[in-house]
Amino acid sequence: MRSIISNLMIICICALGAHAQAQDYNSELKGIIKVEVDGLSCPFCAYGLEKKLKKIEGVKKIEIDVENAFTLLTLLDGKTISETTIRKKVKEAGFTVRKIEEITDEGK
Amino acid sequence: MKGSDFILLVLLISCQTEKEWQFEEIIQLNDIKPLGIIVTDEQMWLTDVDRNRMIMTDLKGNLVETYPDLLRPMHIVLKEGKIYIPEFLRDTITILEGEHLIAMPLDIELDAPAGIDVMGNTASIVDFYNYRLILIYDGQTIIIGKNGHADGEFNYPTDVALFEDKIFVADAYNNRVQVFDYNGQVLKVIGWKENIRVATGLAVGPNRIYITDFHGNRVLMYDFNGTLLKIFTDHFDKPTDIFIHNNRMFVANYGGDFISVFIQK
Repeated sequence: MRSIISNLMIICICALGAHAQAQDYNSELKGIIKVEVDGLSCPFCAYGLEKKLKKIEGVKKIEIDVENAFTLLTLLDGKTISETTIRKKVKEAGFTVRKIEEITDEGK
Repeated sequence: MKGSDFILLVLLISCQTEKEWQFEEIIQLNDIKPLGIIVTDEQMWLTDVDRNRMIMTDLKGNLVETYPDLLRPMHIVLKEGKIYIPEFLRDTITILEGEHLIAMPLDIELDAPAGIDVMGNTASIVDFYNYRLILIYDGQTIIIGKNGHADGEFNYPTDVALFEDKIFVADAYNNRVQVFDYNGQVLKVIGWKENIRVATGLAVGPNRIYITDFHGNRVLMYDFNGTLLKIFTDHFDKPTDIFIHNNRMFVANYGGDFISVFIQK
């Protein structure tokens, strides 16, 4: 009985964790967004990622930093995009997101 | 054997021995990160992918002409006075003829073309995000390959060369070069044993294949049987392309803003 209860508790914790993560990915981002990516190492990869991210509606500018493996998305005023959308495009480009965060100009 | 015959024989053997490659010089570039390279007797053409342009320099690397407004131009080729430029972000092949830029007519949609070669009426294009090789000849468009790691499959192809009746493809993230016939049959897979870390570019000459190893900072030379003949290890920084001209090998270094030159003596 004890093992059943502990198993149920583990399942509940996992489910809650997954739910929390899913909620995070649905958060709407605005302004300048820094996307850190694993495996962004050559110009073909970097500009491949640029190509995929450019297709996101509301993106005004994309800057790619190949050496430090991140990209900065500047959104049009008043536009927002979800973290899920960014993650999907990064995956389409062949990469895995390490971190996504909204930043200010000073935080670049 | 007469003495004169012996001398003739020695001369013949020495003539047939391939000359050794030696490092000659570094051509430093100013504010150019070269990806693709073409060399002629008097000029170099380089794609400066970070700045969305192609440039022409003299053989010392001094800027002569700039062609702006290209969207991430990659591996270029010069054939019959025309330069063919794959535009990675525009999904087109742009042709520079004289002073005019025109789009190459294609009846197939590309997704990030990275390299092209042209021979007579035949053209081959590597289509990076579609993981395929496109061969256009005799009015037909033939598609070769799909995503994967097996022979005949690609993991982000980045460069292509036509030579005699063969097609050579830099299968970048499978870390190898694949050789095909015009029917799409794999004839040879080269380089997979040498721990190449991203095979970004290639050059092909008579019985010679040269491959750039981007992260390994090397150039590897093979014969058409796939036998490794030489590994060049010095004077590179993230090499992306090679051009052989007048017994010289020119290597574009994306990481270091320079061209490494080797000479065959």
